[in-house]
Amino acid sequence: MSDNGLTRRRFLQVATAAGTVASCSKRAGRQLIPYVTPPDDVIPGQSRYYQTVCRACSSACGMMAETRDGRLLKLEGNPSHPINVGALCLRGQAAIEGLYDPQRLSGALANKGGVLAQTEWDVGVAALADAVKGAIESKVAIAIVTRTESGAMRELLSAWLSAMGQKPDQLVMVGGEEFEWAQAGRQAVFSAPDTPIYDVGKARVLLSIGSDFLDEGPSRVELSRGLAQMRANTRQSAGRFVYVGPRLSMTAAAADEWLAPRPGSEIFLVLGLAKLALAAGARGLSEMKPEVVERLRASLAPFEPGVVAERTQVSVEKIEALAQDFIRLHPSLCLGPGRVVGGTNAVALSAAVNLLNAIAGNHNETLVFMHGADTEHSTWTLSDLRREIASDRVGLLLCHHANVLAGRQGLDRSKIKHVVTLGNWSDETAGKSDWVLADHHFLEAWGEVIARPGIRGAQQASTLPLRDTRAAADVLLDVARRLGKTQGLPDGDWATFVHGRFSEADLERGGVFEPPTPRTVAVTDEPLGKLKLVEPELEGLGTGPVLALFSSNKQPQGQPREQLLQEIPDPVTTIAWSGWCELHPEDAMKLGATNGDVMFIEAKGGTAELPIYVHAGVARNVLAVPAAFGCDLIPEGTALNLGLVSRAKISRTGRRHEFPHTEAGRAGNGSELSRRVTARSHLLTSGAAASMYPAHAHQQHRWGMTVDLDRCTGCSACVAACYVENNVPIVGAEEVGLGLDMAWLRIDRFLEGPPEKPEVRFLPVMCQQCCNAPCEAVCPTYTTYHTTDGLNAQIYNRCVGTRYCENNCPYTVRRFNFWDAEHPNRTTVSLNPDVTLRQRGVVEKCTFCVQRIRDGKENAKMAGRNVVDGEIVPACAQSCPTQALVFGDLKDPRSRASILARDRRAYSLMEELNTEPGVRYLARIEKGGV
Amino acid sequence: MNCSQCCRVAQWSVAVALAVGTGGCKRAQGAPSQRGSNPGAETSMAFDHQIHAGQYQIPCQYCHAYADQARVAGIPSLRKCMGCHKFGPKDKPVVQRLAAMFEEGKSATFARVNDMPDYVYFSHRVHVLKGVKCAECHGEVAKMHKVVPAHTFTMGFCLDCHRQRGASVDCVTCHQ
Repeated sequence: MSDNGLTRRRFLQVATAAGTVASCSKRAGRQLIPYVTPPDDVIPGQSRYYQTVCRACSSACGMMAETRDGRLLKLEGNPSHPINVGALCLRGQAAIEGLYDPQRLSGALANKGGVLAQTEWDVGVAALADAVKGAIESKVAIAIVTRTESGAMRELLSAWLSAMGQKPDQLVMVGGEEFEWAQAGRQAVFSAPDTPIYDVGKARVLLSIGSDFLDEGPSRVELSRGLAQMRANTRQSAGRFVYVGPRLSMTAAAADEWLAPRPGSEIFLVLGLAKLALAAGARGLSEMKPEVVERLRASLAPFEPGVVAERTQVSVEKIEALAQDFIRLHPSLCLGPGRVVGGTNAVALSAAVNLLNAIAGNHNETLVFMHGADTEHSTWTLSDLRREIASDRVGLLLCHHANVLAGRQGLDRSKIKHVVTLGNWSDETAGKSDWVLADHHFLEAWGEVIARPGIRGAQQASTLPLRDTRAAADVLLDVARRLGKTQGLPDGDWATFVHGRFSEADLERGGVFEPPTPRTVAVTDEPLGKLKLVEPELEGLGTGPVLALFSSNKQPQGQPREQLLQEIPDPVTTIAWSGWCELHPEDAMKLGATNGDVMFIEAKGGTAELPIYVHAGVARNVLAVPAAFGCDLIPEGTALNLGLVSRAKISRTGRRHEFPHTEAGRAGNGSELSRRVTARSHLLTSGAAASMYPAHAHQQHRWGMTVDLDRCTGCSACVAACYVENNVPIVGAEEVGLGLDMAWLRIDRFLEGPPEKPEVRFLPVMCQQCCNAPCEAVCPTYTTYHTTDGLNAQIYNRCVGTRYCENNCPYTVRRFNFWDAEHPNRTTVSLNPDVTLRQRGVVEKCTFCVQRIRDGKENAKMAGRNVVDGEIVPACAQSCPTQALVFGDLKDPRSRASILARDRRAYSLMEELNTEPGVRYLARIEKGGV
Repeated sequence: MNCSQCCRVAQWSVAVALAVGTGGCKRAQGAPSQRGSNPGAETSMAFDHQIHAGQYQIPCQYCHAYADQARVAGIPSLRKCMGCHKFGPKDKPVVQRLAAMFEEGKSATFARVNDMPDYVYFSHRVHVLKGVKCAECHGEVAKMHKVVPAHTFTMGFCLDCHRQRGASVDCVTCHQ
């Protein structure tokens, strides 16, 4: 805080306002508007970084917001945060769109005959106060449904309920990736129901039971990093990752082996492994009471390998080998179960998975239970709330960033007198609410987020509120004050209150991070006693394929969403902007269906029409559907987040839908481009071929990058970071369908292997910054040329759009602007001012974030030193959760990139063309299956 | 967000405004726009460089303080003006207006005189620290009552100097 009384917050308010004015002014009339009183510590045009917490999912990663002249430009991970260590997933990257989204709610809105109409804040808050008063007087419950909250906000919600004379547990948290049934399973097995912390990096054998931990939360960034660590650790030794589930997801693609047992039979596989572990006297048994072991022995007796093999259709040898590795290669880890294998037996499956880890002795090795877990404040579950609503006991429901009235699994609105939404988007819940009071976007709000015990993140407002919003906490406090019921609630406004919980040093660091204190969790006396160890009930229609719902970033049209998440293709299918269903080629052939045929799907819950994508990455007799598109297929009242609930009947509608996907036209020889080696073999690279051109003299640097395919999972965080950093336009479904997406960095996907053993290979492709660049030789205007630093520069203002370069690029990384770029979800205020906006008729491409290179070089020059390795990091490498991308100076033999580029696994794409790229790929290490 | 919304955001917070040095975003193509005129931009307060920089010999960087630290040199805040002008001359109407605006917390607006095309990257910091004198590009501002561009910032103008001094003439140095 400056001595003249101008707070940082105030500066942000002002500076953004000024920035907004600037963006409105026409170029011809550019004006200079000086400060009246300048903030002390701000240099115009220089970026400042604020640490905050990402709320795009419940993982609560540390986030660093780059702001310049008060405008928020880019989001990155907070390098000092223990969960994500500087990386950020694509959802976090895309969160900036939500901040600037013109459709974000603003002000107080009243529902007038089904239409939300703008009204005064005072009226809105008074209405909420009236509704609260009414509920108290008529003695019906007030319930709050909120996104996952912890720390200050959670305390406030409970305290507020208490102050209103309610029970503090009338609070439901949704949106957490921790499923209700997963927790119930843990509760059955262990003395404490805490969520464990997984240390995947330590594991030597990793087994995922349908857990798509790379595709979705919790803590996908942390687990991705762990997996990369695990692969690096086990590179020269035994150890592997086996994925069990009906669909070859991105996570399954990262595994050494994908096992697809008969859908629904996963539980037998886990119990079979547990039995073998028990029989082999695994390490964990010594921690258990002898009578518990005896009881377990009895419970697991029926799951002989032979029986399991018959039920799962996985061979006895495979089961035995897997069990042997799981016990022998200590520590191991079994993750899951995930949504895609969760059926009516999900609680039992969850219990079995947790038991397997306990028997194998993985506690305090690869999974740690922590002290201080928030167990004393119990809350309602969604099922509790559903029951209370059904019996007409809920009079007022507050929905805080929770879209719980949506779809068939939503709550019954007709039974609740008043619903008030405190959120950002005009979703179904907002539409069905009596009042909507717009909350700040999380980047504008203050908060305290406890990611897990010991990690207390400081959510710091990084920009002023761009719209007329109020913090939900302030609204609740206002209501309490109006009703004179402020007992136990903080005084003053929320931002000051939360700010007071952190020191300035905490805010600079991004929170308070303490090392965890592990605690021992004992197995209960009757771990499997009360559970039915059976297959899920897959009622439905006949003997059709099993419907398996999986998580995806794609959402149906019309729902609030980040366009970036729709534009960036699904990693496995490469589909963008559309829903789809997946079927095995054999099943599809029986139906006579080919890619793009719209299928009519009928399941227990209802019907849906989706285009089909046929590939061998789905188990036979399984129909895989992204969860957001399959809501109508789930029966009403089914527990949330179950993926395996019914059988389905499918038929062709006769219509076709050419879904936008990026695989067409980019097909290539996957095994040649995205290479694999065995643990001990070397790649045979041709080395430098004779060239007819003189070699480039790189004066000081030769910038280059290495892409480690052993670490890359295809998660697309780099792609999202590139879009945001370089103002890459989002072109929409139609253009993507025509193959005209503008991504400078794309993830190519190759489907390799025979149909019975399919494998998905990913290959991130950006401009290869060739020394003998085919694009340079054909440019008539010298737009593109080789710089003295080894970059393949693209000077946009020279480009006349002949597109010769694009034609001549063997890597197809150049993009032509057929249209003037539009950034519908991002006002120009949010675009990166360091990167030229390309006009229609101009070819654009990756430049290794030349603006960052220039900044780094300039800073070094001003400080009178050389650039330090690791000082310059392009946006893609910065966001990579697994550090698969490493940027550096190839001229410096000691730089990280340089060392990696000489690795035995290193190769260049299309070496035979002798383009001498600055990007080197490191082949993935193949570990083979069981 | 459309223009009317921006304006609404602007209304409630015009107390202090920002030197829009790096304002807007760069666009490829288009002609250099600084040819001495800047139609549409208004100057709300007269400022005489001849008096300040000439008569009183105030160094350029006393007011344009960021020239050696940042890409933009920056224009002085009203508080900086008042640092001297609280002592006078209090009889001049323009100084009285300045004092009143400062009291009210209202900022002035100035028309941009020297401007670079959006597709040019230019950093004052590097140039100042490499010993380029302000006058080499901006002319004898100390003699100008009203500032006019001393040079047209064409690529040739930049390159002449870059060649003379042995500075980089790589395209990507200025165009990114």
